[in-house]
Amino acid sequence: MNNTARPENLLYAFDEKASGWTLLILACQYMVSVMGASLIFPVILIQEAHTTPLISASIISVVILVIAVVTFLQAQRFWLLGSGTFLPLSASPNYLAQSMLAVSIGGVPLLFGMTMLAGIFQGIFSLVIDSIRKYFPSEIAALIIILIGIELAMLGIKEYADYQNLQDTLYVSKSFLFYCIEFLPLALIIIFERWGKGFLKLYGLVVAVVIGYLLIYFIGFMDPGSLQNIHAAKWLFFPTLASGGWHFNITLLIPFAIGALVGTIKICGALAALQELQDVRRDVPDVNQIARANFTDAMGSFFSGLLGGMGLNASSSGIALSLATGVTTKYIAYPFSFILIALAFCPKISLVFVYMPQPLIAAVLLALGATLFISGLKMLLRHIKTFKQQLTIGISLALGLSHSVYPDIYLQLPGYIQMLTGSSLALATVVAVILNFIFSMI
Amino acid sequence: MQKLDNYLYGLADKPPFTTLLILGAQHLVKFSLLLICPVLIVSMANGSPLVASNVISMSLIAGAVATLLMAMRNKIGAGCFIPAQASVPFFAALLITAKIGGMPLVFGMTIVAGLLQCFISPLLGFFKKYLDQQIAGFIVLIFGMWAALLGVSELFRPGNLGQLLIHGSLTQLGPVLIKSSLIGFTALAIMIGLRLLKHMRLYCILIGMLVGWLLALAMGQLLPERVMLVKQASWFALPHFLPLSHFTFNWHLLLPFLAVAILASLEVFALIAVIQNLETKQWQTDIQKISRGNLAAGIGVIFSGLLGGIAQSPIPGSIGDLIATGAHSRYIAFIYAPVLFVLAFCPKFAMIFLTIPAAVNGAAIVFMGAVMLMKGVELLQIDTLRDYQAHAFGLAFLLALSADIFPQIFLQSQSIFSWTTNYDLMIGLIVFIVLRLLFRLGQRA
Repeated sequence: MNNTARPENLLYAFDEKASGWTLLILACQYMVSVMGASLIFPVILIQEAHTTPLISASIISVVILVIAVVTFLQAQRFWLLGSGTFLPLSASPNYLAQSMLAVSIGGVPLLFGMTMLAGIFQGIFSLVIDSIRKYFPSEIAALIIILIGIELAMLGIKEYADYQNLQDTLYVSKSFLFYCIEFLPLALIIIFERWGKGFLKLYGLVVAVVIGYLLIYFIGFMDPGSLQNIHAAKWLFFPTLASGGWHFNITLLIPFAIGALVGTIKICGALAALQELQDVRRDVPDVNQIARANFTDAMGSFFSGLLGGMGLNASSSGIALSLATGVTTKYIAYPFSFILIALAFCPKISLVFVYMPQPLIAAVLLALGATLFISGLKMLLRHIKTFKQQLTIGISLALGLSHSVYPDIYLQLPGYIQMLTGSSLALATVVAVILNFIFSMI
Repeated sequence: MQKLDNYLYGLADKPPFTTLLILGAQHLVKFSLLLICPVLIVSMANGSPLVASNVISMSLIAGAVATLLMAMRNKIGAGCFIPAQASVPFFAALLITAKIGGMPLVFGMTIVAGLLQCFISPLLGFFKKYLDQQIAGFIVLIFGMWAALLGVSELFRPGNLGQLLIHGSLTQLGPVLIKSSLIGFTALAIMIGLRLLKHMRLYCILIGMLVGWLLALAMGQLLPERVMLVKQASWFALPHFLPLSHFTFNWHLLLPFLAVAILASLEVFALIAVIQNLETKQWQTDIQKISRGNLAAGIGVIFSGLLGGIAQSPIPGSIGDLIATGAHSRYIAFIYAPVLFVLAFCPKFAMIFLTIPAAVNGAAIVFMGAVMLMKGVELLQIDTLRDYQAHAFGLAFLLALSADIFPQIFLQSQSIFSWTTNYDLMIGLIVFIVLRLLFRLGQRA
């Protein structure tokens, strides 16, 4: 059955093989965009939790290890597992607010327990996805992609703002060189994307990050604290698994369930977008593949909680990179997972990613955020056919954006409402699902 | 995306008189809360309530004139109905001006602002090539976002400048008021429900707001200080003109006002272009018409200053109203303008509108903002753009949004962006235009 219309911007389809070198460089590119951006969340969480250095290092190692194993499983297809796609995981922002709350209430054991439960929730959602999918039509999936894009980009811009503060630490005056270095990675990514050809077009992101990293290191614009931590880190390390055991708390059930629901819809949207990238004429997504992808993805959070990490979900930057470059081959999972497993036991190198200088993370997040935002908009345009859909998305988007601009409003709402309005993504999803449900009845 | 905005009354259609009357009332009720803007500017200049009352009356007369000018279709005017009220782009600049030099400087600089906008009008033709569907879509999208954000803020907690400024040192925001938000959400639900009923579409915003207003009255949720304003206002007042000594100018402010005037002209372009698009269902911009429309808007602003009012310009949010109700007949202007004129002589009536609860107004703004957001997305036609063009748009939009989320980065003192109410639009447009021009390098014809 080869009647699909291969789009111009598809470089490697799900099952297409590439040479070993190509796969290796592509895997490095994904490492740079997925790891640099996603390890921010466990680092924020660790800083918040004030844990011992051993537990902090273990959390990061466990997260990396589980990402490696589940990404590998995702690329397979046997029994209930795997969707045959390359869908790298990352520590998920969906769970960040809830995880911080869990850590403040009951320390890391509560975080591990609730993360496990989040995985179970997502697993259940994946099993009933066929029957609940009508409540999450494609336009809502597109809305989620748009909001994730916005969230990534805003994180990037925040990184830029924070980097400005580093000047005081470095005693660097607001010199021209400092600004040049700060914005060079972003400029390079944009230049490679617009005018790059061949190698630079495909690997522009990793090239820009490597050039930027080397320049920042040699000129001496790295944060001294980060450098010290990298120097002090061991070459070989075995993480302590789930230290303190697992605790559970009933009041955190709904926030973690919403995190899992958002993760589920995100995968629906991401996979639908990747499926459309394979075949432009595709109108109805392959639900079986989506369900399998979700089930496998759920194992990420489950095992992360079990072993002592935080909630995981398909990486937004990974999806954005696939959409931007047109590379979707599942074979990247092999080198990607292999490198990650090595990194999980070698903190010296993994910290190089953890402490990636802010201008690099900022550039990657902003560029990938913009890609995801545009992919979401394109998907939205394809699926919106009625005024009801327009209104559903318009109002949900308005409320979602308002959460980012006026977070204090939502902190003043009663506790039971706050459970639904934890982040712009959760708020917009909840509103969109409710409006879609009401409109489907009138 | 399919075109979903089938209209009921086009530009040249003449609805029955009663329909016109209700449509005029709908725009009046929706935008009458902007009457508070002159009060805010006068209080910034430490003016007396008497001065404020005169400025409101004169602003209303100027608003009536500006609306009529826009509806004309000869040498000036675009021949369409876009209600004029307190100018959105110039508001922030006028607030700062009031602080620097009091009301005489506000009136003087309002005249300068209008002159600058008139001066820009003929130049629009030269940039015809660049004023395309994407720029219009971008402006409408950012306006939709701006309106939606302000609407949500108003829904939950009324602020003194919440109707116009997302951030700024002058914005004081109160706590979230649950009871009034519930009234607001009820109004929003009514608006949405009625919009979906075919025969109620025309009046969905008016009915939603009236029900919300009545609910607030019944539940004792009207602001006591606003009710007091109504009690204190007289039934009839004759506004007076100002002596020539009452206009001062400060040439140091010319540059920021020029920047804001350019932005205001681009806004007029987007509003008129969208109305043309609603009519013809395809992208056809009549640049002559847009230029005449901008001239009308500029003259309206000059007139506001000369009369001793604050700048009156086409309200960007009105486009959401026009799309949602499907009525963009220019004849509505001939009802709306005289009503504004009458209100100028009857302060008590004008003050009654100020008792509309902020949450109810917020509901209408969220509704219109959502409609504008989606119209902007539709106009952008992002699926037809090349990858790098789409990327230019994406980066520009995200930077504009970041200006709202992290105002501290962009709104430092002395920054040109703090001079306009729509600093997000200004930042976004600069990035969008620069990237588009840059990305054209090396492009094959």
